[in-house]
Amino acid sequence: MSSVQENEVRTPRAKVTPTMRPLSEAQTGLWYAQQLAPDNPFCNTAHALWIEGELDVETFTRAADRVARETEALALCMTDGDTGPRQWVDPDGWPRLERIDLSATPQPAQAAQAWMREERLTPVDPTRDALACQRLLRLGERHFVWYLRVHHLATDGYGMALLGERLAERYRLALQAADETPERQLGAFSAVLDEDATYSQGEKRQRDAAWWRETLSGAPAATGLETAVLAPASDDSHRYAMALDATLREGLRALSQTLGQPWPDVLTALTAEYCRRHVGGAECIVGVPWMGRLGSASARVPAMVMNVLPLRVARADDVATLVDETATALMKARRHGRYRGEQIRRDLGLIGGQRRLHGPLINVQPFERPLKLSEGLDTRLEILATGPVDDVTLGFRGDAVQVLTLEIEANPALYDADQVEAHALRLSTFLQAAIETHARGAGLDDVGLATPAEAQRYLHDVNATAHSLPEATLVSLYEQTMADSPAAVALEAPGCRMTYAELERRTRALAQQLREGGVGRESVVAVAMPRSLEQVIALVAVQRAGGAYLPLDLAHPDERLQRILDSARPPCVLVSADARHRFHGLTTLTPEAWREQPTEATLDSAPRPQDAAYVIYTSGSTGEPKGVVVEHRAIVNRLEWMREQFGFSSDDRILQKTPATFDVSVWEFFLPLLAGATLVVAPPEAHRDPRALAALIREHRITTLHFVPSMLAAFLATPDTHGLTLTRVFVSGEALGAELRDRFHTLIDAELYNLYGPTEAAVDVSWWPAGREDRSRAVPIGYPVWNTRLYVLDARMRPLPPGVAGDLYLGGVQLARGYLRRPALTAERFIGDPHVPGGRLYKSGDIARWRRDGALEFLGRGDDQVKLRGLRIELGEIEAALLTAPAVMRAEVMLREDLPGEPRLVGYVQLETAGNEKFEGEQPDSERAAALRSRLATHLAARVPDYMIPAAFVALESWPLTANGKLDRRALPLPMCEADEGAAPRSQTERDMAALFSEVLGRERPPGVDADFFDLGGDSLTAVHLVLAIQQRWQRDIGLGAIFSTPTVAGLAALIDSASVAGDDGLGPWVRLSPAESDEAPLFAIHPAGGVAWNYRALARAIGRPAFGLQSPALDPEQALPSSIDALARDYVERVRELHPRGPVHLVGWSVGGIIAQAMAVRLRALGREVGLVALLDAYPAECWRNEPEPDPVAALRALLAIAGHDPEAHPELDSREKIVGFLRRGDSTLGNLPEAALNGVVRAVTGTNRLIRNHYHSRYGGTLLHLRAGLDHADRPELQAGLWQPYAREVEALELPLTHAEMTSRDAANRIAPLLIERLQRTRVSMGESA
Amino acid sequence: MNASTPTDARDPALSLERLRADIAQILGESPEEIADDDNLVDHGLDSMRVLNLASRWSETGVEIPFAELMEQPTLNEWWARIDALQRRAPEAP
Repeated sequence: MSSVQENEVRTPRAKVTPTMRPLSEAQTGLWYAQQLAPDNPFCNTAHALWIEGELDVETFTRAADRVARETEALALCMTDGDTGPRQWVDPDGWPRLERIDLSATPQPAQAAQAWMREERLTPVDPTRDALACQRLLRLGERHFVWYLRVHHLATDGYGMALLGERLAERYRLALQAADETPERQLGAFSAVLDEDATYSQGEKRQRDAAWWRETLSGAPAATGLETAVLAPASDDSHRYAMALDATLREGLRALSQTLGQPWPDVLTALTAEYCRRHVGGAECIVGVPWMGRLGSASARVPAMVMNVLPLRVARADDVATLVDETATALMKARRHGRYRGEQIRRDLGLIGGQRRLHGPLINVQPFERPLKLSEGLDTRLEILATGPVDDVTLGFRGDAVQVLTLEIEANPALYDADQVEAHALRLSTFLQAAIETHARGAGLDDVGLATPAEAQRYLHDVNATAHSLPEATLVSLYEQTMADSPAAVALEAPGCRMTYAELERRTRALAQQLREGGVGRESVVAVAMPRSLEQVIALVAVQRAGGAYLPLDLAHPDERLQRILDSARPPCVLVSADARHRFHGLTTLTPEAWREQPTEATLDSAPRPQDAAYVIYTSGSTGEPKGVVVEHRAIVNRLEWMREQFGFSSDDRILQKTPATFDVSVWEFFLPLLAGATLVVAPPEAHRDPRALAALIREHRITTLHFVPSMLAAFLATPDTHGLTLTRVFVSGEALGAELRDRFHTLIDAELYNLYGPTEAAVDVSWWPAGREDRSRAVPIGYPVWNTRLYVLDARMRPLPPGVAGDLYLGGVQLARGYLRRPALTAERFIGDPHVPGGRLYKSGDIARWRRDGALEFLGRGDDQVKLRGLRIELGEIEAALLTAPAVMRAEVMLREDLPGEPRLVGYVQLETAGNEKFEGEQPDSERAAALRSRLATHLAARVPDYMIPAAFVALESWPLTANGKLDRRALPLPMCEADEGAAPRSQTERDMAALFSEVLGRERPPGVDADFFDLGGDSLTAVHLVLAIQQRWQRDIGLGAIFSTPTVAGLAALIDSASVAGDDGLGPWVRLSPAESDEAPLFAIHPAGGVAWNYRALARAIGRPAFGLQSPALDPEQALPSSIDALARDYVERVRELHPRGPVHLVGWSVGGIIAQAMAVRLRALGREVGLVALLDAYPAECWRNEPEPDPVAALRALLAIAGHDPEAHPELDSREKIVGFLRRGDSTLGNLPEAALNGVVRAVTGTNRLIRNHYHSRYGGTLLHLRAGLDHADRPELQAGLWQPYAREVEALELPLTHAEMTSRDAANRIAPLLIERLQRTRVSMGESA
Repeated sequence: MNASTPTDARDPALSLERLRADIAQILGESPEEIADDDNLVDHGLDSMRVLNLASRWSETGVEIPFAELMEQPTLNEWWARIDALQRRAPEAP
């Protein structure tokens, strides 16, 4: 910059002390967002004006400087004070236009892009850095770029546009005469603040708050267009622009004309409908920016005023209704548009990572004009960044006459570039179709969502599964095996085996006997036998006689068996002798009466491919079980596909453990017989016992078996199963979680496949290789099997694009014939295929969506049917049974998952008054509930299988209803008494604090004053949110430590009310972990590598005695870390002595904390202090780490990722301190939410402690160490065992738990570990008492 | 836009009541709900509707500058400006 300009622009102004003012409400929201993520440049907004032509650089520079100088917002300074953030205008702080000459670089335009990108991605600290910067980049003689970057705290997009126009105006004027100034001035920034202050103190704000609360009551959860897990806004959004053609523009304007609504409202309405289609509910909630300038002091002020308002848009029958309703809703929202979106979010308690106020943003900018500098200059304005994009912004820019551009900005953590482009195409297609549909007079439902290309791909391309198969039946195929390899072992069970020749003989003999008894093609023969070789013989014999077998479970109550028998009317029941009495009145045949030697007669009734092979009954919604009839050709397709797909051979040994009434058993029974392999029959009940199963697998060298995922989880939780080697494991029956898949691969050596299919489509119709390398976060159900079609369709049977949930339909050769003797039901569920002439479809009742790679994701049930531990349950069947109980007037059954991973059935009943009285009277609630449960459970036990009996019952006097009068299932109460939370809040502070508790914890009801934050479900992450919420509400930083030591509403309110708040940040030398106060010997928990000990909170509370967490001195930047572990242990022992001067103490340490705990125990003993329990949670002696390469600082930092709950392996790109810290900041973890100083402390602790460990040599401790090993980890280092501590203790007690290292101090783990520690704590007290 | 509204072309010239009726119609309210000094933003007015009103009223032959309507969106203020413009405007050719 030349000195001439410098003098010119620095016109001296009167020096006045700047006025400090609080931030406006709009700024405050951004302030906290930036504070939470100081390293994230996402608040930088920027644009680039590309200029081509004869630019008068001097004049331009003067104009730009003048604009900057007259814009107070560009010269804002900010500071964080005791009463919250403050700002003032520094008269000399405006951004000068500096020039950068890039014309000498090889590619100036690219160089400019790169320079601007780097500048824009530099984080800005509003308390230190200038909020704005402008540059003139010179690319050549006639090419320039004007770059302007302003922090969102200083301006919004409207302000940026004002600045651009102002510069153009000043440049044009200055070209005419150097000192020409525009007629009108920009407005004063202080007026914006005045207006904001007036509003925030006024009554209008209160009314607006109430209005929003009411308007949004019962609103659906907000979701984006793609259902990725929400990630914080990124610094660098995807941007995609697409010009909308004249046809669309004209159609839009014509539609606007017809409907009498401005076209921007029409566009917002149709785009919202597009979003709703992706979400799939009856309504969706989108965000609409509100500029707040009309009729406001801010009309001509660059400033941050913009607000985002939530807009509910419901399904409508036609375009006119949709547009009318949306326009009205927008109109009403604008009346309350000043009320901040962030505040609405807080009012509604939508705090925390995944809880949002709205989904996509819809931003129509009808006034956008090209920015014109002067005649002779071509200009193009490029918007580089507009501030944080949480999810996606669907923007439209232009006047809709000349131009209308669709611009999509998306958070790259949630959308990839292909998805953004696909949305642009799909949305523009949708808009065009909606406009045309209305012109035709058709309804909105006539508009599909998929583009023609998407329809082709997801109807046909992904289903190209044609595969030719021989005309065969199960019988013809296994008879071939029997003939080919008679000496091979067909069946095996503990203590016995049977060759194929023997199987052939036995089944032919029984088949002949059945044939003589009248069994032939299409006969349905019931088989009611426990798992045994005889059971297999029965199934095969029925089929060889030409019939279909009907498996019955003897564990089911008589009433249910009777209903099945009444429906199927079998001519004969093959039954074990001890159960024969249950089939009174039917022809029965027990194994004792089976013929063992065949006669000469040939079997003359071999089934044909179109004959029934088996009939399996499933739960029915009306309470009536329904029999699914599956034909030979269907099941042959399934088994031949499986045999070939997975390469089964005669060497395979397949375990039969699934009950025959569950269709998974079909492939277990028959696949080995088709492959010439061996079928190993598990003893009855073995399938429930993981240890017995593991022994069976080892003993019988099983190569293949099946699990329902919940059973697999139980299996893996048993250490006996670890290290098993198999060829393949199949799972199906319920959703397979990614975590379970990964755990499987760390513990078992086998391929893992996820299969999906209902009984109505011959066991499975899709498959997915869930191998070791599969990283899918939601494990798909995968690709269609041979000759199978899978569709995801909307309510009008149209295909849906990928990522959009819809009804899953199945088609192809595997479909069942239908339901036995239920033609109406068959016609309802098996329908014509609208996309393939002559095809049939089965409506699965499941909800699914396509992935872009052609694999399906299963999302759950679409109806009343649920699955519990792999078993299909129609809630209606249980409800029907409950209604037959005395005094039950109404019954509803629901599958609840109030604790993650612990689904259970809960029955709700309304009792007649007479019946009710029996349970009332003087009984306490708990007894009454127990009596109800016992009465209803007993009643159900006689009618439904045990897995269908609810775990809890609740008697209701009235039913919660939704707005449209339906049962509001979500409002049904939890089946247990709420904990005693004390009185209702008494003072205003307590009321506000209770409201913050519910806000942060997502509770509907504010808690009582004695409710404990952590008992209510709080953890250290939500505690950080609470600290921030308190800070925002009272401008007081009470610190995390306060929440740890005083976790009740009353306690924290008292703290706020007391004049002084000592900000305990929870990073001191110790924290109190448990509110328990007693004379019992305290427990000291030693921090792991990260230096903080908060993680022991759940464990300490579960143990329930006084407990302290000792924390690393490295957390305090003023403190040096001692030079050795022993020195550290000495310091910690001093702290122990201060906190608890005499008497025994107990120690617990996880990971590195265990190493320190052992050293402390040694030290305490040397000082003559009694040491009780020393518990090491998955800790191993120092020498285990000594030979590991010393981690470089970055590697040590990467350990932080694991501490924060991320998989470091999944993020190889995080290779610097900045990137790692930045990543943690963006994530919603405790670490990521820590204040800067604290996070730095954790970083220091991790790096420092790691070094000390390597140089530590253990001394021997003369007492017992209790070691708890994380059994689910250490597959790669099996030598990490409790025994490694043996040299350093008198005795080591070893326990192993089915946990991973990372989860050893989690809430769930605490519930397992606490009882073990309590028992030993009590024991040590006894022994110490004796020794004393 | 909105050419076929009931108030259209009823009067050759604009009147306070015509403005009130048009504003009410575009806001989906009844004319008596629009008081002379109400900030029309509190009724949900947005810039696009201001533009539409300006162009609708310009059809009477008086060029109504949209930007001026944006500044102080009350019925009184608008009427004062429009009234002045109407008085000044020469007869349409």
